[in-house]
Amino acid sequence: MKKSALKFGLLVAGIGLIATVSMAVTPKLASNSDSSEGFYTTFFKYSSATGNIKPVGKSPPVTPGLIRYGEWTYRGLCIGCHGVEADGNGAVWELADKYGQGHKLPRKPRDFTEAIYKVRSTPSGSLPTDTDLFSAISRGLVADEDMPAFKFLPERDRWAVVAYLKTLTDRWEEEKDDQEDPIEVSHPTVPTAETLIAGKRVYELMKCGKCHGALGKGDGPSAPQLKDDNDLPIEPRDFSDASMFVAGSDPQSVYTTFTTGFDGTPMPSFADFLEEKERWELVWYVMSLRNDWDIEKARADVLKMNVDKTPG
Amino acid sequence: MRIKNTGRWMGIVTALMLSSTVSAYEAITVSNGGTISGKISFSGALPANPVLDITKDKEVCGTSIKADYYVGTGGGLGNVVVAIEKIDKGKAYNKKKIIAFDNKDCMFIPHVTTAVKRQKLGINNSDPVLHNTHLYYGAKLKTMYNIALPLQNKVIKKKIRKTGVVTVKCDAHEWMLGYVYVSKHPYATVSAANGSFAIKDVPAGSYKIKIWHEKLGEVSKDVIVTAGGTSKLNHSFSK
Repeated sequence: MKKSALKFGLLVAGIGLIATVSMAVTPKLASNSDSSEGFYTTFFKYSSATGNIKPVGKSPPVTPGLIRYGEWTYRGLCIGCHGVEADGNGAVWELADKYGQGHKLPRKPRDFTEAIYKVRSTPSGSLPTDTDLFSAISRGLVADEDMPAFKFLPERDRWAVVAYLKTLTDRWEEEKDDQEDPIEVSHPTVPTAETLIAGKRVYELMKCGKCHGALGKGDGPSAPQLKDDNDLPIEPRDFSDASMFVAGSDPQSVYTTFTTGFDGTPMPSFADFLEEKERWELVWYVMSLRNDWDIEKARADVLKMNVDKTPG
Repeated sequence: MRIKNTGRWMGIVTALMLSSTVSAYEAITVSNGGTISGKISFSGALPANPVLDITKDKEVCGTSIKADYYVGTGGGLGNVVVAIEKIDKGKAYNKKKIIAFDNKDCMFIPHVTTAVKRQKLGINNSDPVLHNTHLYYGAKLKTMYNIALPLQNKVIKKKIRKTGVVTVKCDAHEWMLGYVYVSKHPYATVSAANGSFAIKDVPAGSYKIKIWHEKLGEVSKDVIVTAGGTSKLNHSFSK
C-alpha cells in the first residue's frame, strides 16, 4: 500500500517535471508549432537532434555525489517512461499498454537493469561506452522511439545520469574484462556512381534485402515475423525515410549501425563479413535509397571533411 | 525498491572487492578423481516432435522439418544437460577451445551443447541463405549478441560472457532453436541419444547435479563422489 502510493507519487512527479521542462522549452518553437499538436509531439520535435553529440568538456569523476545527482535527475526526467524500477515500465508505457490511454509509445522504453543498448560504438554483445550513453541522452532516439533529446541539460547532469545508469546492473562490473573495443569509424570515402554500384552488390551479398527489402523499403520476406527482446513486433527500417534511422542518418552512424548491430533487436552485426571499403560502399548505397539524398551534397560534405582534417 | 536504495553505492564497492575472489573457478591437478555417470531416460513413449512451419527459403530449408526437441533411443533421452551446479576447484580445461555451432539445413547443429564461460562459440553457416545467430541469456531471453551470417562457410568466433542456459535463435528463420549451457567450470555435458552421460575427473566430494531438458524442465540431484570411484546417477523424465 505504502509502496504503491510512493510509486505513484514519484511517477506523478516525474511526468510533472517532464511537462514542466517541455513547457519551458517549447516557447522557442511557438512561431512554427501547430497549436493542435500535443505537448509530446512538440517536445519531441524540439528535441530531435541528429548525428553523434559528443561531449565538449571532460567527464566529471564518478563519485557517490555524482551518482546521487544522476539518480535525482533520473527521477525528475526519466522516470515517467523508464519507470521507478528503471526497467522500462514507466507510467507512460504502462498506461498506454495496459489501459490504452495516454501517449502510445512506439517502442518499450529501455530497461536499464538489463543494459542492452541498440545504439553503441562497441561490437555486438559489448556494453556501450560512457560516451555512447552520453550521446544517446543528448541526441535522443526520436525515430520510432520517442526518446527525447536532453541536450538542453548541462553536460555534468548528463554525465551524472550516465554514472547512475551504470549502477542499475552488475553487468558493468561483471563483464569489464570481456568488453571489446569500440569500432573505429574510418574517414568516409567520396560517393560516386561506381561506389553506388559496388554498394548495391554488397547490399545483395550481405542479403540486407531479406529484412529491408530489395529496394530498402523495409518489406523483405523476413520482415513480418521480426520481434525485439520484449517479444514485440519490430519493423526493419525503410531506408527511403531518413528520419527513421534510429542511430542517425549521417554516414558515420549508418556505418556503425550495420557494423555493431542493434542489440535487443533482430538487426545483427555484419562486422565479420565486411572490409573497410565495402562498409563505405554499403553506407553510400543505403544513403542513395533515401528520398532526400543528394549525391552532390554528400560529396561536398565528405570533401569538406577532408579539408577540415588536413593539418595546418 | 531499486531507486530508494541509498546504500547502493557502498554495496557495489563492496561487491566489487569481493567478486574477484569469490566467483572464479580455479584449475587444479585432480589425481584419482571420480566419475559421475548414468542414464537419462523417459518413461513411456517419447512425445512426438512437431513438424515446424517453414515459411521461407524453402529451396534451401525444405518444406518439412521435424523439430528436434525430443531425441532418444531405447528408452534413453538425449540432449539433456547434466552439470555440476557449483564447483570452485577442479580439472583444467582448454580455454581456447572453439565450441562448434553450425547453421545447417535451417537447423542448429548441435541442438544442445555446453561451454565454459569465456570460451568461444565458432558459428558457421553451411547454408546458402542469410542466417543470423542471436544468443539470448536468462529466462527473459535478453540479447547476448547477434551475428549476421550472410556468407557460407566462414566461422565467426565469439566469446560467451554469461552463464546458465543460453538460447539461440535465428531472426531470419523463426523456427530455428538451439541451446548452449554455459558454466564456470568444465563439469557439464549433454546426454547422448541413448541417454548415457559421464562427467570425469571430479574431485571427491558431494555435489548437486543439475539435469535440464528444454521442454521437460530441470531437476537437481545430490551425488557423492569418491576418489577413483564411479557414482551412478540416473533420472527418468516423464510428461
